Amino acid sequence: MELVVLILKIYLSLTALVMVVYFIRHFTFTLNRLVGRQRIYYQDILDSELPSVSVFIPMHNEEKVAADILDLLISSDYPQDKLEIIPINDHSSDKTKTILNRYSRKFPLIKPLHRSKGSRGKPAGLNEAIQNAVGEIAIVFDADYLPPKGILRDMVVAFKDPEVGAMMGRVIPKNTPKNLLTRLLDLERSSGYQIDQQARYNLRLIPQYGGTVGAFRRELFLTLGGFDEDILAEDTELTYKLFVKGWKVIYASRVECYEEAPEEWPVRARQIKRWSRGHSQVMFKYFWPLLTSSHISALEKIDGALLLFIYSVPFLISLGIFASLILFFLGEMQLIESLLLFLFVVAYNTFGNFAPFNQLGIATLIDGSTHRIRLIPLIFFVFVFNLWYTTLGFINAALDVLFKREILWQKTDRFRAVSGGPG
Amino acid sequence: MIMLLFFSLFLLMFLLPFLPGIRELVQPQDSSPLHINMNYSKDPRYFGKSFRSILDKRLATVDLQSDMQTVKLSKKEAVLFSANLTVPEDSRINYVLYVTDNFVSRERCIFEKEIYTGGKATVGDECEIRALAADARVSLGNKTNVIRWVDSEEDITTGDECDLGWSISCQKKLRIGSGSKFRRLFGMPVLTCKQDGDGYLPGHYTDIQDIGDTAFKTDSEWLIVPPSTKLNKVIIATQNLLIKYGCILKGDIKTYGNLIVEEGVRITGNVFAEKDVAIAAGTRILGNIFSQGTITIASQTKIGRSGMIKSAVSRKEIVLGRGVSIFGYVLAGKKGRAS
Repeated sequence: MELVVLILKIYLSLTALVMVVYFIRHFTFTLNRLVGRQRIYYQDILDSELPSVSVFIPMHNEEKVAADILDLLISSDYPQDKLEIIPINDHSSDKTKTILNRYSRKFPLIKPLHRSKGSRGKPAGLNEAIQNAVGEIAIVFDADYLPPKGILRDMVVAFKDPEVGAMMGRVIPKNTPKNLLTRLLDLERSSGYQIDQQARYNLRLIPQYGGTVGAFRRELFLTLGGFDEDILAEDTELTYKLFVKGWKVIYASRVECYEEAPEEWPVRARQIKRWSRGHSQVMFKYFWPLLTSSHISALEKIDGALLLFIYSVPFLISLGIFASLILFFLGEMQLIESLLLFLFVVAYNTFGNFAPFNQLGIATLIDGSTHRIRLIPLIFFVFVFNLWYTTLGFINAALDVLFKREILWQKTDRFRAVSGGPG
Repeated sequence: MIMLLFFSLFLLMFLLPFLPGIRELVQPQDSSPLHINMNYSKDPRYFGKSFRSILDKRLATVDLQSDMQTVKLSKKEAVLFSANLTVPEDSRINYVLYVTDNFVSRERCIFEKEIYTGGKATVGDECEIRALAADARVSLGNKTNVIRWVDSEEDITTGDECDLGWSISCQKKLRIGSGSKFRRLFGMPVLTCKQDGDGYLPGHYTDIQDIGDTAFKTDSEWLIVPPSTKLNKVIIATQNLLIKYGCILKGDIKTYGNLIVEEGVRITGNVFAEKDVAIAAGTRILGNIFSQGTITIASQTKIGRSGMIKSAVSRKEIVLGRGVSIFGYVLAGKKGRAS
């Protein structure tokens, strides 16, 4: 029993240490956005020499949203002779195919790829489509996104920088007013992009390619072997693949695009589980290459490792809570007697609990939002929700590795009313 | 009873932090999605074109022969209509001017509202202009102070020591007088006045690197490209980069530190620097220049090429020497000045 208690105490101490490390990370990013040097993105570069672009839109049963994104893309200001739009109809059973064919008849630059054989899922669909495309730059939008008129130019200008392998724009929920969930997701998005991504860009760390409103060099992507179709977070995988090979991912706060945030908690739960599972798969695959890559600086390695482990932290915390309960009922919670641990716990309670809220608050401040800051305490409920489903995703990823399980892609449900089509 | 009291107290304390959020949910005051301008399309001549578009829309039904009228532009404005107009010196004009032919302003005039002219615009010394859109050539006198912008369908020439406001843009040549300050310039090309200036001389350096790979990663303080090197590859320097005189570099350049380009260098690609960029006299860069710091371009340097739009963009300052040509766009995040 003494051994068990000792193990639990050590584990609890390590959990506290991990949490302190992450709150330092949160504070560093937040302070950077408040008072640090801000790097600008390249959107102000005007260049009449534009590369050819292929825009990919993975679609699985997207009849509700397909027409909206196609309408917006064909009214883009990007030269049409340098643009092809490839909606990837991935085993759809609704009217997606009909809608895409109707658009393609009217607009020759829309070249749908209909997939009804082979493995289903975003990575598999993209791999096939990218192989057959012609653009120098590949841009990916999820089907529910609403790209503004000038976004493609602002995205491709990143690749004038010779070491940029991929770029990532900012996602903004369109359906924010819908309900509590969408309002809280709006806050989460603000924090994630306005603080996390921008601070990582400022500090020359590892901004993440997020799989949508993102672009990458197509030839380079093919040279690197495309997406691993067994990984659910193909975006995170590409991020690490690029960094390990010496390329950079940059974040463009100015490149903004509306998305449709999940409006129902079960849909959000599935999304988080998928992200957590996929991200953790990337962690298992890329942790060692990250540490040993000669192309990555020490700071990038630290940030990259913390980013890789981020979806395993809720699992560690869950176990920590469990461990603390056991210790409490065994009357063994006097581990606070350790001065170091005491300092960790005090530091965490002083700043750690505050760190995510602080980050959210500063993000809304930078965005110029005012009253929505009142919702921040309600994030507590999302924290509990995320803790649970992220933990489930992490466990799934661990089981995938152990038992070599087959991964099935689950798309996020849409909530928009069905839109029209080309007249 | 006491337990109930304690429980009620606990519940109150527990719910207290959530009350503002619950109020925001029930009576939303800030629930709209963050704004994205879905029609935004980058245009360096945006101000002039937007103003002309408002005029076209609002003046479609207005009698342009009558002198002064109140017209709703962005808001209700007094507008003076005229075929040709010459404003005498020391005038102060507090209404919009709509001139169908040529516009002339004598010295020391202040224009508090926008000016449109369908012909040439000639502005005397020491005038203050809020905004000016012209369909033909524009000439600004010495020490002109532009509050917002000037745009022309043809050439613009500015005098010396002007403050050029937020934006000066034109479809053809834009000549900037010496000692002028600016934020954004757009012209095909942007030219600074032609007089010989001192060539740029770089500071001390100690290290010389062998050139062999596509990307150069070095821990030394300076990566140095030796004089007259000819290279057909991308250069990426993890610290500072010095390109010695006479090099011909066919490829893009990226440096995490400062970049110094000596005299007579020719670069066909784009130039990106995390810190300052100093370009010496007589250099030719066919691509864009981007700096997270300051850009200094010495005399007789050419950026871009005829018929193509390229950019020089800096997060901080841009300093242009004499006889510099930039085909396209110049943007200084803080301030720009022409020597």
